[in-house]
Amino acid sequence: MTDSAKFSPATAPLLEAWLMVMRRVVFRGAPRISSTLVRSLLPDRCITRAARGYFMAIHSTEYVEACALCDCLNRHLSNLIGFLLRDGDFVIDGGANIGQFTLLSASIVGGQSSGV
Amino acid sequence: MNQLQISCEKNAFTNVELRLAALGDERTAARFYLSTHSQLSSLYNMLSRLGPHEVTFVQQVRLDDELASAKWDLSRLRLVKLDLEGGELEALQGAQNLLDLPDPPAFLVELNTVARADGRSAVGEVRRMFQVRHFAEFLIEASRFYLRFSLPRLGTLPEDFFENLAVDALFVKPGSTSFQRVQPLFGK
Repeated sequence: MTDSAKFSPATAPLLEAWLMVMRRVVFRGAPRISSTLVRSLLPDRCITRAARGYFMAIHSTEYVEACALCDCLNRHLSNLIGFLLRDGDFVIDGGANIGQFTLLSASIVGGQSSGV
Repeated sequence: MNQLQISCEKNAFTNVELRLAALGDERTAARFYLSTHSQLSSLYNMLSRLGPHEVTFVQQVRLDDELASAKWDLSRLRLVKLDLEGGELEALQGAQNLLDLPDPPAFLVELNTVARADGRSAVGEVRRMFQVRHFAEFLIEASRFYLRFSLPRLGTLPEDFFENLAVDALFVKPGSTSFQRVQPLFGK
């Protein structure tokens, strides 16, 4: 895994600019643009900061993982989880895969979260 | 799972406990189909249309057993997310105690309509498991304008799933804490 600190100097501002857009609005076509951009900017196996603020280890060539980084494919589920959970709650994530929702839940609940 | 572990370490999340196991209705060694697309790996061989895949064996566990042995505080359990690529029914059959909690969590379940070995999808049976316990069911739809803070619409689950590959459904029991929290979303 390549840490984001080792990316080329041009990568960070470009990616951050795109994530800034993604933090505000997701539009039709955003997943495709995100996957293309992430694939071309990042090495295949890397750790970088996601749109939601936490770090994610991803394979940048995987469409779903690139979209998870940008939170543009299942934004409605992310928002639902953000709406439902409070500090101190406990969550079970069955079928966590790369942990998009596990990491989101962990960042919200503060106390206890679980990925199975 | 390895990626998730790396992510948790990088974020210094000490509040996440990872279990490398498959969820099912009995404790056994289970055949697990590994897809080249990691998010589609499953206990069920629905992957032949997706190209080459490998088969491995994993430990299958019942969620009720895991929760009993871990002794977590279930009164604070607010959400159970199940995205198991066709294995949701068996996972729920292994979580009957969880479903019968006095203040049950919300269940965010991917209803996978792909036919399994017997040629039928398990969507009807998954829904029945919740219906007999008087859970309310909702289809989770994205808002038309996909803004950061826009909340999903909670719609009605369609009766005919034939055309859909998978839909995300929310099951919440009226009167539960989780139900009260999502109540503002009803009718949006």
